[in-house]
Amino acid sequence: MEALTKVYRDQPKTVLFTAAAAIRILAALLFPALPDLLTLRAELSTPVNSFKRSETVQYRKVYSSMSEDSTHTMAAYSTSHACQAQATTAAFAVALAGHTSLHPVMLLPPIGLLCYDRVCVQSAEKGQTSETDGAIADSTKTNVAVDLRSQPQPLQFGLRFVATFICAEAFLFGFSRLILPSWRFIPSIYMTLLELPDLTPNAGLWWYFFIEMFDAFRSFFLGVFWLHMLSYSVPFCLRFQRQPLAAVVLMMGIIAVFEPYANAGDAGAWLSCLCLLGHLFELTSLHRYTFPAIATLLYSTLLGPAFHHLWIYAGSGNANFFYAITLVWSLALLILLTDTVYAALRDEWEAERPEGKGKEIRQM
Amino acid sequence: MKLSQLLTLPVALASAVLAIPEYSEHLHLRPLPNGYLYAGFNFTASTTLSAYESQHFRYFPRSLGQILQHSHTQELHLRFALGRWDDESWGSRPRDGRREGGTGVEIWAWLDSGGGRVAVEERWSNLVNSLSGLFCASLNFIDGTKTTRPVLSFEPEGTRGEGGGSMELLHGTLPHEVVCTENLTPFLKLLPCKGKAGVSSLLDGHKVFDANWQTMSIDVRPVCPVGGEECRLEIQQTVDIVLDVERSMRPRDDPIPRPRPIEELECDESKSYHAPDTCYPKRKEGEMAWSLSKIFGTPVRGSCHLADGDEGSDIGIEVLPDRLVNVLHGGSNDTLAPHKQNHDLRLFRLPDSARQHTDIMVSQQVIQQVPLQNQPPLYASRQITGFGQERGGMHAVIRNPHPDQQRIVYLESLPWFLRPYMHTLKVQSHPTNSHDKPTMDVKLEKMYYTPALDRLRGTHLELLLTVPAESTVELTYDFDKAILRYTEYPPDANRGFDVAPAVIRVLPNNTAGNGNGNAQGSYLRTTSLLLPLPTPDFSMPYNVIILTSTVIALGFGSIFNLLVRRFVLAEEVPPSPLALRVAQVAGAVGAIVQSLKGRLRGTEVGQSSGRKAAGGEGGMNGSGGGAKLNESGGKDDWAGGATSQDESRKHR
Repeated sequence: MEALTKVYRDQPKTVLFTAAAAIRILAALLFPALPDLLTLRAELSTPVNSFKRSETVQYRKVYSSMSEDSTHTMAAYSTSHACQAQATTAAFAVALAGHTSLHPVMLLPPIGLLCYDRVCVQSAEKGQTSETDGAIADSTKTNVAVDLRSQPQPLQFGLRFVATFICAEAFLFGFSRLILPSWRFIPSIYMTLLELPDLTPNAGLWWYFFIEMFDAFRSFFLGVFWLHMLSYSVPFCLRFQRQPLAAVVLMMGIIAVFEPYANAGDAGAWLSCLCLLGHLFELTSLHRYTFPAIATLLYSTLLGPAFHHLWIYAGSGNANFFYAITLVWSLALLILLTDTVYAALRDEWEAERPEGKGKEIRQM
Repeated sequence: MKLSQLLTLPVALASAVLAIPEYSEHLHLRPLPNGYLYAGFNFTASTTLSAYESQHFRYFPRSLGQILQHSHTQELHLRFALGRWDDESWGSRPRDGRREGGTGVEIWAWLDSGGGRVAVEERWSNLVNSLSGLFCASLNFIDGTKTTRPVLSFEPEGTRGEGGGSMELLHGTLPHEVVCTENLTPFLKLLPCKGKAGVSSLLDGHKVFDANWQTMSIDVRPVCPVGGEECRLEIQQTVDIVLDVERSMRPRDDPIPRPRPIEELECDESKSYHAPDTCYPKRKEGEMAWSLSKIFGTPVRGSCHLADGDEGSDIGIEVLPDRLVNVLHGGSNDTLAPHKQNHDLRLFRLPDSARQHTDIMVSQQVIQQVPLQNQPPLYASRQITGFGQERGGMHAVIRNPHPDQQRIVYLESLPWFLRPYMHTLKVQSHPTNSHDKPTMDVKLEKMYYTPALDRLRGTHLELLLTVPAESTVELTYDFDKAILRYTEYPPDANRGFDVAPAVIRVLPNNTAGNGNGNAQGSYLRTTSLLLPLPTPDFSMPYNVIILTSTVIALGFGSIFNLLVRRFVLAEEVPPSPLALRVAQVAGAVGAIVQSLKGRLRGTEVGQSSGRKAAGGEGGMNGSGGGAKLNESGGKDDWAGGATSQDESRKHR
């Protein structure tokens, strides 16, 4: 046991990834029917990530084999590299995630912000260590006079970051074109996301809305839904300038709730990412509705499959049953998201005004 | 004796004279086991290509000819079909299945491919839309999603002279279409005698669509004789029906089946419970008696001998040689003698006079000899497996009863909302009779697969494979059922969607193919399938739009509410001016009430004893002071709030 802890302390990354890979392989070996079972669940499998479908569908072969898993991995990878102030790697990872499914592109502004933040901190630390021989390590807690001239220019950094992203994306398109016979993969991938031709039931808000939508208003509401999703990215960056990691995690939450082919996997990835903001949990549970939200999530997790079965297999319920439960699911996720936004803002405010801790506050 | 050979006999006889008649018609009758009767009508007209191009139409229907010219159609095959051919008891299909269609409407045509893909699609659209008008069928619904381009399943029937441009084959199906009398009437209008005379006078909608199985076909093809004569364009119209003899012979004025009075019944007296009031009906022995006028409701009216050189027979009956067949026309009753070369067949030529009615009668007869039943090349059936409305599987069974292996082409055109997984396609064979031998994978010689595109194109699957001798081949694959937009469902959404039948072409054994018919091989089709799809609630559009929008608005509202406002301590919040004013007014009113109360009490005290007066006054003072204190306290609070706010501003 001690040896294990020692190994973990020495090479935490290697141990973590090895353990993850081992669990994955073991699960596949011990339960050979598991992949089949999982791909058949409506909550988990969507047209965009379905492994079974990817084996047949034209032009998506290369893409879907990378599937949803890799999108999550890429988003997480990008975040971690942004935390290490490696702008190029982070931008490339976002490009890779956005290349397979469109919406991770919305993570670009918060991740750029996070990257910029870390670059600033690093340069400040450098300046500090050269001045004070590394006396103070924690630069975020104490207010230190930072030499603004040694900071990188935000505009310059932003342009460089976006340029890296565009280059990476262009490279990926060129690479895809090399593998595939024609450029037709672009509309067949991105129109599937933009136009929602496939209305297979999933855990999101889009499918039933666009089944029932009147034909004349279909394109209008598709535009509204996409614009709505886009409308969060920049406001989050502006408001959470001091805590860019929160902006990234919240944007992942927005994507998990509002994406066109939503699934439980995305929501799960987001809920695990919430641990990055672990210092906020106390605030959410103290001031907000975390318990009702999580209770609702559990409720819809149990009732969702049941209602899906009633509609599709038993025939004793209709589509409204499952639709209602997806609404409840999205609502619970939204409440959790709003609570996190509140907690992040309050945390920032409390750092500014420590006397307000635990007191009742108002918004103005 | 092969049915198809018999049917081509009159044509063969006529071609022996080396002059193809411009118009000929023929009716072939054949009793089937279990009291069924097969009737195959055949009407063939032709015109020279030069006459066709200069729009001189005599027996070739002008309306159809102009449509074909307009849409640059080289060869047309149109089918309207209903019911199922029971090949287990009826044997092989008439005309080798080449004039048969899948349930509903099926059309395939070779179009001039000049001008590229767009031009061909335009011509196809022109063709199906015009035919839709001509035949009162929903052919105009054959759009891109119902059109496929088969590669192996069909070959042009016509012979073409040199200099013909390239052609492209398009195939469309409408499995949901219900074929009925409104399709038969325009079909008869294409005939020169319009169903008023000749064998076509028997075709009545009530009888044709009361059949257990019926198929109408129209085939237009160019025919170039070998002798260097001018090429001709031939139109062949056929109607094949299988009638239930007993049901068809019910009198028209009393069509509802009722129990017959006991006197009319023939009872089986060997039964133990036989009594004067109990009767077990005796099974009818031998062949049933029937006549044309009873089955079709009318005798043949006159004849339709129009063209020169048409010396062929009009009616052929295929019965056992011992059977008695009578012809009743113009008051005389003759017995029809068997054909000289083929004793199973009797041929009859209608008299030329247009007024006389002709009827053919076959009496009930007990014949020991069992008629030879021709075995079909293959038996095929197809089912949907699985349960639920999310996914399912296709399962086709093809059985080869013959001792030789057979090469077949299996064609499926699936609607786009049925999403097959081709990696799950399995073709396996096992011997039909012995279950000991293991199943083997059948190697697909060729596979053509065009995947579906949502709302644009259906799936086209074509397989070339060999069915081993006396074995059964099972073909399975999985599929998903898509959920559609609510406007895409038909009014009876919960009935399900029809999936077109699979077409199986049995390739001829000798690939060289000496004759035209042999090169085509024979065809059979499975029944159409009913595919249930998940349905949304059709009454909900407004509710769904409102509810989903509410959830989204709730998220958007609460997040942006948090983002755009700043936090302040609750005690720092200044009360609103309105609340202040209300508090002031309430305070003033309270003070007035208190002073009034005080006055009232003061007068009471003045009247009562002096002992209590001190306490009363004290009480009054106390309460009055309390009210004043409250008021001033409120003012202090407000002032304090203001100062603290000022302080907080200074902090910033």
